[in-house]
Amino acid sequence: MLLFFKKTWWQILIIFLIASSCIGLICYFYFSQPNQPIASIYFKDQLIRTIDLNASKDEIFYVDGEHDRLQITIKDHQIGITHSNCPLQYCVNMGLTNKANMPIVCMYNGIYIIISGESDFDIAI
Amino acid sequence: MNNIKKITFLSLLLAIAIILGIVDSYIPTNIPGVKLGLANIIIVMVLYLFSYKEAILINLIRIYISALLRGTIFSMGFLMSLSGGILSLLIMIILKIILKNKGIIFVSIIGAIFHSIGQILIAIIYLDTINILYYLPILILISILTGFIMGLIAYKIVNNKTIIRKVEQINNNK
Repeated sequence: MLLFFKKTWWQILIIFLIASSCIGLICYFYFSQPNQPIASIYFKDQLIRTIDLNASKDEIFYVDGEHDRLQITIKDHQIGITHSNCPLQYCVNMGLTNKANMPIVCMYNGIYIIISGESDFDIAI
Repeated sequence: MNNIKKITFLSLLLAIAIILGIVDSYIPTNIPGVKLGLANIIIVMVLYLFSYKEAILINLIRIYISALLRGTIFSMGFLMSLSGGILSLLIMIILKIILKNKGIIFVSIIGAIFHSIGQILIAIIYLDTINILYYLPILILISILTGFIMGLIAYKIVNNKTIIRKVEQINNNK
């Protein structure tokens, strides 16, 4: 206990940051599934389409981005970008999801999908 | 002749930073855009072994050469990398001065956090929306862990007696 207080302020801050990061990540991945996930597809700041993922049927549709046309797939109440000609392919590699912990973003085309909805846990968007 | 050893040493570190950056981009993290930040080990090392001038130089050249090698120069990815790199290094320099050359792990963690913030700022400007901020919490949480690991490695290297002796030789050989 004495050793703990002998530490400098930044050493204590490191311990605090790492502890909060671990707790935060656990909460983020385990409590981020909303009960009624709603996917909102945006082109820059413009809302293109809103989809209730619980009520959605399997579907493939296309959205025009800044440079390219993106293929968006809804399957098993999950949504994702399944084809894009962007160089890094981060959006495609994210796969299909219905979790609210992070948006699917294609920076190259200015398209992003945000999943929102009510959850039992406050952290869900 | 005065700085040849220093230039050679820094060039070697730059080459290692570029290779680490490329290796980093092939390590899967399951979260898009999230990287371990292996090249940050070298930047923190240079900042603590030499000075902020060398760290800025190595960081900027590393970002440009890495983008050239990947073929992403002046693309969105490059701009995000540049903004994150500049913002994180500025914060690390300020913190290093405040902490009087101590707290390398803490500096690395804060640097990693501000790298993410810099990237998100560019994304907000480019996409013209603050909705992208939803991505920031997960980036910060992961940055703390990666920053800690990279800082720990940099701490071990910076405190290595052989490296300290080598750098002293280089700095005294003017």
